[in-house]
Amino acid sequence: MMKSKSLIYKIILVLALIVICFIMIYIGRGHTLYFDNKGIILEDDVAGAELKAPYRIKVFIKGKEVANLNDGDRGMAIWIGPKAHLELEVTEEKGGEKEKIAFDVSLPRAYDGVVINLVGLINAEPYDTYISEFIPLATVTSESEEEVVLDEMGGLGFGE
Amino acid sequence: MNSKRFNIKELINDFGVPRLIILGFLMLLFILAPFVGADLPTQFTNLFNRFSWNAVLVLAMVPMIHSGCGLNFGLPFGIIAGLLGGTIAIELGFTGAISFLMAILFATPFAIIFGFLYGILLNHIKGGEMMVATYVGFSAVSFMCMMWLLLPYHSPTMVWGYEGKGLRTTISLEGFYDKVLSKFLEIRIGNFSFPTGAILFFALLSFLMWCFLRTKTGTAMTAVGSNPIFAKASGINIDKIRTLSVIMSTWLAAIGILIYEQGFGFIQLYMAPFNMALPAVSAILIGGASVNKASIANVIIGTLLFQGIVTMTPTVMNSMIHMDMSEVIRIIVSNGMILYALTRKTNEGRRA
Amino acid sequence: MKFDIKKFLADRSVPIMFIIICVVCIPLSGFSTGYLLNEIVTRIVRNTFLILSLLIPIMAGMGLNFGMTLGAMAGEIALIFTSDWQIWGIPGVVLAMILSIPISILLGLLCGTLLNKSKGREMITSYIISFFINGIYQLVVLYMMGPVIPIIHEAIKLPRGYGIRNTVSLLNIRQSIDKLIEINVFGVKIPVLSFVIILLLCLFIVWFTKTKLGQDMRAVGQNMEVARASGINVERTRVLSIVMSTVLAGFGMILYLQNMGNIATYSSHSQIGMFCIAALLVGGASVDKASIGNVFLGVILFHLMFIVAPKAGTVVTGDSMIGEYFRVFISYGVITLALVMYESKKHKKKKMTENGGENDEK
Repeated sequence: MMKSKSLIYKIILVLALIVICFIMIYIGRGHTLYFDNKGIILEDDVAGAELKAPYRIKVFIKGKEVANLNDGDRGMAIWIGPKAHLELEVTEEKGGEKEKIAFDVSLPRAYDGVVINLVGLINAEPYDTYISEFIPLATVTSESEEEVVLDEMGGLGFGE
Repeated sequence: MNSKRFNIKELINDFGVPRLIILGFLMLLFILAPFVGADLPTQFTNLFNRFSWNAVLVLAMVPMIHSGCGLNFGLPFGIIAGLLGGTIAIELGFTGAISFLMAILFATPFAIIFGFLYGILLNHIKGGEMMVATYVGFSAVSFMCMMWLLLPYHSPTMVWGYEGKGLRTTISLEGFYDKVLSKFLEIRIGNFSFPTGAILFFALLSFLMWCFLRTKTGTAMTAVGSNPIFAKASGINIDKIRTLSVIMSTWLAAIGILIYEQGFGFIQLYMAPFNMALPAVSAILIGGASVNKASIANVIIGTLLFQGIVTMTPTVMNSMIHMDMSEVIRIIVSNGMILYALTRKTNEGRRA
Repeated sequence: MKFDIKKFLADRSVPIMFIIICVVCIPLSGFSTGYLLNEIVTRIVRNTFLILSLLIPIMAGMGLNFGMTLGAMAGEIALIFTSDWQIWGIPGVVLAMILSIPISILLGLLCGTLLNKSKGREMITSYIISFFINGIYQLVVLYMMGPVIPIIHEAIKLPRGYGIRNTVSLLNIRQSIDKLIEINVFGVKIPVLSFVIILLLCLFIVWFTKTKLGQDMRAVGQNMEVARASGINVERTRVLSIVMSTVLAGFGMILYLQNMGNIATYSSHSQIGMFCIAALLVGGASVDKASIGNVFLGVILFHLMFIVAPKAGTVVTGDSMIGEYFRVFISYGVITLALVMYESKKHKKKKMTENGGENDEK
């Protein structure tokens, strides 16, 4: 009786840990966000109309300014979790009125780097038009082969 | 029929599964070597050279195992005596073959003093020798790291050029005792060479050891190791015998490092002696010794097997799979062997 | 009751020696008090959890667990995965801890089983185990990660395409726990959450010694035969103590590395065992007796020496390496001293019982 009871506790514990694992994988996924303040050409529009970029957009995350973007600029920040909460301060014209807007952007799990076109986001365009994956430029691997240093001293290194 | 099979099983058990695996592995390497284009004569040259460098260090394990002090993880202690001998010989301006003799001469008193103190220490901690030995070795090495910087050495071949003091980490032995033994009576046939002098020297030391173990003191030493209660009853001074064995081990370690240096061509100071105990320990274990039993044959077989793996794995592995896993394999094999020896039930009667 | 001052001092000779070293070295090094305090707080946060993991095997009479390195390796493997999957911040730390548990348990079981086969020489065996498993760890991390174990990001792999780089950056995990709640007391930054975690572990250990299992461990540590006679499963208890120590060491390593901010893939763990054991011994612990107080005193004194010795050495001798070698020598010297004291005590006790036995026969 006692044994089966403790076995049940153990199974529950293991299951709970596995559940926590998945929760952590879900809420802990980190992304590098890239913000573009760049006009976009709407494809399905016959005239090929362009959404114009505002003069300046400031991006705040958790109350801290992470990017100050003039027309055509790109900024960067990191975000942990599946849904990024961004606060934007948009200045449409130079010297014009500042407008604060907040957005929740859900981030695709598979992307390490997420490019968010802020113009598309502000104008409530469809998700696909303003989210894309950041593909790092293939860095020419000119780096020489790294020598692996195996520590055999059993701890005679000097720590940090 | 039945009894015979039983015997084979017992034989395998006695020999130890890990040893069989290592032997099989080495044979596989030798079989594979010609197929992957390794040059066998060069391989054998390497093997014999490395054997001649290391064999005496492995031999240094024997006395302490015999007297029941266990595996001498404190080998670096003796190595330091050897390093002192070598550096002093060079400092005093000896060159050529004479420098080797002088190195041995200078190393001897250090080895005897160190061994004596070390032996007394080990007599106070019977049963826990191996762990203490390990850390005594480490402490000595790190203490000497300071000393190599502070001792008043001046020979320009040994000290740092721009400061004029403090010994270098590696000192070239060219012009001193570089390969004095290996080149003595060396046999050369094409790619193959055989370091006759160094091997003869090892043979001499082994023979002396063999003789010693058959003298009265030698048998007393074995008695102390195998049955201390009996030894005590028959009037043997256990502590004295143990100290003697430690002095012998330490002295052999000192000589061993000098032979290693003459083959290798460099004196390595500072951290270098640090990881020299484990290979020697595992070599003698691979050769069939246990924590409290060792013979000269164990030394020879063990060193050959261990160095065989060290020399063969890189070449064969590299040409086969283009991965140099030899370092990792060496770590796993040597430590696995020590682990096996430590966890095997020793005959309860022997300790106690 | 008479207060035996001689015995009091003799029992605390190591901490006293260290206090003297520190008192001499601090003015020589010329570091400011503020700097030293900040450094000490960092070192406490970094190392205490790891050192606490040593206490349980000591309680069970298995000596200093040199096999704590195994847990450290488990923690590193877990962190390599989380950083490859890009799980950042505190969730990353929590995930790494959970992932390290199965690896630690497996390694702990192996270690405990082997130690049961080598009773009486547990320490040297656990020491060799740490070397052996280090070989296996290198095999896994250097050769199998990539071709056998999937690693997503090229950035943490070696340029040759398999194996992990010498350092893995934990930039986005770095000090996520330490920095969460941080207060500033007279210029000394105090990471509250980290201290809370350490405190919880201390409470756990205090509570654990009072449980049935904890009592069993203590009994096994005092005398295996007596414990066996009173119906305790000695082998199982010993294995459990090692498993617990390994798991805790894994957690400790993850906390250590989140503070450091990067993993030295092939060397972080090999140094950690020695430093933790030395620190514990500096705090006045011995091979068979250690308390939480020893841990804190040890971590402060040992790391204070570690910070000031190189600088003091440079000032005194004019050579920067002397101090470096000096602190390494001291670390090893302390361990050696503790081992010698413990073993000679054991030897004396054994000799006395032997002689007693002979007398009885007469």
